[in-house]
Amino acid sequence: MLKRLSALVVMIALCCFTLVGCGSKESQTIKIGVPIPLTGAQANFGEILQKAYRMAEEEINNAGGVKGKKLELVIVDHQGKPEAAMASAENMITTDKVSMLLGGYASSTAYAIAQVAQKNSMPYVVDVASADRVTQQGWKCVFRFSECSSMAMDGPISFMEKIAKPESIALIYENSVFGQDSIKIVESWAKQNGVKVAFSDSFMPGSVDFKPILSRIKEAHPDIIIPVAYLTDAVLIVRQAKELDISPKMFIGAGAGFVLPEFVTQAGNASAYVASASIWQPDMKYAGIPEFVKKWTDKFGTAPTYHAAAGYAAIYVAKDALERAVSLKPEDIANALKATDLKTVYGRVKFEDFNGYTNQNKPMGVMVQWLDGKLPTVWPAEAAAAKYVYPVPAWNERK
Amino acid sequence: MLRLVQTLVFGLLLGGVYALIGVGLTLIYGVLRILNLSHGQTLMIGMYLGYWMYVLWGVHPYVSLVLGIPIMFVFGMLVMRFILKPIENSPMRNQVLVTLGLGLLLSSTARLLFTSNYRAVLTDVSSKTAHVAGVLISVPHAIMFGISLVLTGLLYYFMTRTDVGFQIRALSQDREAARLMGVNVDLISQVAYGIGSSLAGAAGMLLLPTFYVFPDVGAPFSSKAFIIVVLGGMGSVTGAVLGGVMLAIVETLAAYYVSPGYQEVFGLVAFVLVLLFRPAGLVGKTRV
Repeated sequence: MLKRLSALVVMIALCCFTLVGCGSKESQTIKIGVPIPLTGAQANFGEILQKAYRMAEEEINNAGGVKGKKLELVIVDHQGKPEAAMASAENMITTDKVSMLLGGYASSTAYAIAQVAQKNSMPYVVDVASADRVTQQGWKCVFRFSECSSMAMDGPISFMEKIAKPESIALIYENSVFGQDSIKIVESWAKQNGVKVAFSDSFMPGSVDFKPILSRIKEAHPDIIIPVAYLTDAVLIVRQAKELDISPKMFIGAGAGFVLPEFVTQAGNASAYVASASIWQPDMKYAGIPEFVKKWTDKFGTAPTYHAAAGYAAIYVAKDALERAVSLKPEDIANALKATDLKTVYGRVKFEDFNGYTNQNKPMGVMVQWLDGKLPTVWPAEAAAAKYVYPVPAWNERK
Repeated sequence: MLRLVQTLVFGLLLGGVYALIGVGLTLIYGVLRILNLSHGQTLMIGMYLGYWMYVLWGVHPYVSLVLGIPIMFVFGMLVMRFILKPIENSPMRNQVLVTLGLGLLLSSTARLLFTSNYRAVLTDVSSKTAHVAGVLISVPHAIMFGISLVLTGLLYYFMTRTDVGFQIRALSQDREAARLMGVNVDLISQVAYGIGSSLAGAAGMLLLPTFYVFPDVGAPFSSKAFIIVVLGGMGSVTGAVLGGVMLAIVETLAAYYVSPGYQEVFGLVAFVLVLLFRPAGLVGKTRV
């Protein structure tokens, strides 16, 4: 009798589960909301990220998905505008019923999305944005596995400390959260180490003519010039510096535009010897990089940029957390993210609280340099794939 | 002193191409009374035209002007004939919305065809400079300025000395009277729009050696062109030249003496000041 009763209970329970399963559509897929710029001035990078996200999504779903369910990325264009980013994030939470948010691209849009995520207690993984403030608000729902600006310059700063030892530096940065944050860390380093900041000023992204600001830098005669800019401005800055015959001992870009393949094609010979901060390079020794680089190159015909690696790894970080989460409730996913310890193509990922940061990963910072049209890692010595050139030859001494 | 001269030279050279962009827009406004919000996108088309001629056939951007200007002229005539003509008699705001939509259409089509990648043309003159009495002169900017000057001069000659020029000016003074005098209003409107478009396209091709092109490159130029035209006086060609040069010089001075981060603020402050004291623009007459 007891046996029959328990069998009945099990059957009823099974029926209930199946019914619930049929009734609610959400349980068939797990959705991740991904607002990125697909139109506007940043569209190019949004497209790279989209390719990377879709690549990881396809791999995960081909391998059986997450918790036996299909992973579905809801990718929406936010045009690079913070207000549109906020609106699309809110829409994803209320209408699409996503389980978590991811992406965002630039710092200003990621910061806007982070505010929405925190307000709605929705876990959010930031993959490319680097402004410090994104993880400095004590927001428990915001996780960043890419570097923040204060770490982004680790490579160049240790290079300047150990090798370059400049007497004066000049800083030129785009008028944005990314620009201001990157420069702050270099300025405070210079102050602590008695390095003279001979020049420091911002510019409007998208400017046609950088010659006024560059001629002021020329008058300041700095040993090292540190520009913080995205691709288009970065290209114009070095091209016009060559025009004005400005020859510092080195240009050290703050990542972003200075490490992209287009930098060398568009800046031409003005790109030679330009160094840059970097967090990710295809020549790094993290597990999975060769396979990822090969797959990407075969599929798209170009080498992957750090955006591509970050975007690709971000989806795996999300997948790993969703897999481990007790349920798909936001707080459980957040707890799972917090416990992340994963090796990805972007290095080891662990979200930690330190120095006023919350849920911030610590990737290793390196310095790279354009040598013969290639961009090998040149610093620190243990990660270097080529020897740095410093000081670099003046424009008129080059072939 | 040398620094001031140097900064003024940077500004003046940039002003040439600003003027060219402004002249095209003001011509369209003067004749057709249409505020063309797709002017920057027309410039973008000119840039892509120059880019592909360079990549496919190795034509230098300055040489591609010879072919590019007629192509942009025909493009402008077609836009006028098939997009703007049908809404000629609808309210102003509808026409403005149509040009806004046209701009979106153009940049989205460019994105579809060419992707959002940034593209640039590196020519032998792209980063050359000349020294004249201690002042640095960027060779591509000087060429850009020179060609802009020639094109504006040609336009001036065309408008004041040729029959078609007379008809265009007649149209801008009084549309109905011009029609009564036997001016073929539809054709002349198309010609005017064609000239405006070819000037924007030419500006794009001139910018190509020193700038980069992507589908949304036009939007900032659309708003800049608008400022230049209002600054100079709506519909006035001389005004657009003055407005373009003035805007470029103010921006460059602000970039050098204050901060490049605020250069556009100073451009806009100059704009507001001019409008406060001369509401019709630098050389404009107030229209009723």
